[in-house]
Amino acid sequence: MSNELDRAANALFPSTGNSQVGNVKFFRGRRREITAEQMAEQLNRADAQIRAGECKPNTNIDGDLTA
Amino acid sequence: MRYAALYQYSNGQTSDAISVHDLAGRICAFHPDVGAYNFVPVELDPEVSLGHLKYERDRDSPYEGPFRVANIRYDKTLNRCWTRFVCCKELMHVFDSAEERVDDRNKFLKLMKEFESIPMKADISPMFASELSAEWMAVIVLCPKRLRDVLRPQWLDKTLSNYDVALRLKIPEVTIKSLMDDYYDTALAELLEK
Repeated sequence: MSNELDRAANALFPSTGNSQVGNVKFFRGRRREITAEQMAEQLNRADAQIRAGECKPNTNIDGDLTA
Repeated sequence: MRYAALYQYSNGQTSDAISVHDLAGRICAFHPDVGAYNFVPVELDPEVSLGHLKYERDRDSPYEGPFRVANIRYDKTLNRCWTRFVCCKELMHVFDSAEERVDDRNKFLKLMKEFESIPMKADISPMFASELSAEWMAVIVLCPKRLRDVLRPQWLDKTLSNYDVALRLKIPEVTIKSLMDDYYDTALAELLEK
């Protein structure tokens, strides 16, 4: 198995069977041809940023809907 | 909570643009398996993916029993309309059935391979099929029938362009063609049974 895919699968579903994850889904990007490796890398990338405290939840993605 | 209940809530609002935060709050209040949600902007490669859902147990929760959080990450360069649509689509996966959920290693690996190979309809897994259904669920909940019934005649007679409709609803312009298609009614009927 590839590195990024392996890393994502191990993080989500450890071989110990003690997974905390109940579902994982993706929104495809603009390019039609992508690899499983590239998609897994997106998950690993986001996990790393969140672990590093670089990203905080946005509590107002809607903004002013009357504007 | 079923998707139909969320749709009825959306269809009962009076505003043109439906708040995704309101939908998420409604889900947290009435869906027994969703305790909280987060929409988190992260740096992604938008050529590959615009966002994802990681639905997981909160290990730090003070509550007894399972407390699950819908953690939705989206590409931080997206504009507001795309952010709302991507987050709403990922949020719709809280309604995934047991077979649609990616909750073990084998299902995860299968889904990832399907993104790569894009199988024919007869061969797609329930997990991959739910990716397509969730887009329709998001389109419809962000433009319920009461809004579509007003907008569609004006769109058909070209009083309103795709851009005008998208601006009213605060959703991406590329979704408008699907929204105005006859298939909307078929999708709505099927999703209300979900």
